[in-house]
Amino acid sequence: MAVVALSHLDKRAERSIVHPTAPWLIFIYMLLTVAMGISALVKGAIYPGIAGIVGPTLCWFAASGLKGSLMVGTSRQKLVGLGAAIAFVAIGIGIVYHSGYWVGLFGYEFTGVTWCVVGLVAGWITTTRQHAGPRLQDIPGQERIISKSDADMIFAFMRPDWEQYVRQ
Amino acid sequence: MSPPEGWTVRLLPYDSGTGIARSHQSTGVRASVQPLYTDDQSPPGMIVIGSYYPVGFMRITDELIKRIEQAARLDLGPAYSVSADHAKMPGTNMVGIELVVTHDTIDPRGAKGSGR
Repeated sequence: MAVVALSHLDKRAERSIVHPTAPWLIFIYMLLTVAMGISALVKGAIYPGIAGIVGPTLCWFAASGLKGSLMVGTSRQKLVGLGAAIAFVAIGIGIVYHSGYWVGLFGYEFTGVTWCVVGLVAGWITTTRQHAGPRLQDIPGQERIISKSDADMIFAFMRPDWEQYVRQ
Repeated sequence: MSPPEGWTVRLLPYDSGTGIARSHQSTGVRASVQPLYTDDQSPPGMIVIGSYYPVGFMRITDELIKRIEQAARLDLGPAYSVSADHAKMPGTNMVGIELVVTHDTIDPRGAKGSGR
């Protein structure tokens, strides 16, 4: 017997999942990162340009991955997530700092490291459990159908039979 | 019977009948089934089927509840009545949906059922 038969329940629930944090935030951040990096590249600043794309991306990825592992990971995954995050942030900020990359945005100038920190914050706040964990449809063992046969069977059980059945 | 991979199963001993619940270890998603009995000689008056999610995992709207209820009605056919509603798991940060299924046919032995 399927222990729990909630097919449409989970299927429809999956469709109704909302993403409370703004996905556009990370989209805008990545768009600006790439645009500013390319801008530096076309000006001939090859190393800063590449660092300006790779560094902030690593920082965003580090924060997002760390939060994801903390939310849904096992102890080992949390540990690995923390280690990877530290490594990515060190490399990301390290190359940006070393390259001397800076960004100009709406008339303001920021150091590349500041932009990396923005990436860390963006990665952290835009990662939700929905992003980090398996989606409902990916969770193994999810029943997809409220089975009439299961309902028929349960309604056919007298209490002693049911008690015996669930303890098998 | 062993639970699917990633799920843990446990029994919920209630006076009205033992429920069975399973939880997904990574996500915290939980589902349960409990037939409600009034005595040892009758079939259950109803089955309560719950599906619970950590707060923020998904949005449970009235529209969703209605759709679930309709879909369950279609799945189970005319022999059953179905009622779905919002649910909150006491003492936890879990919200969900509870589906109450009752059997519409009257027990020929005259037992206390949920028939109408």
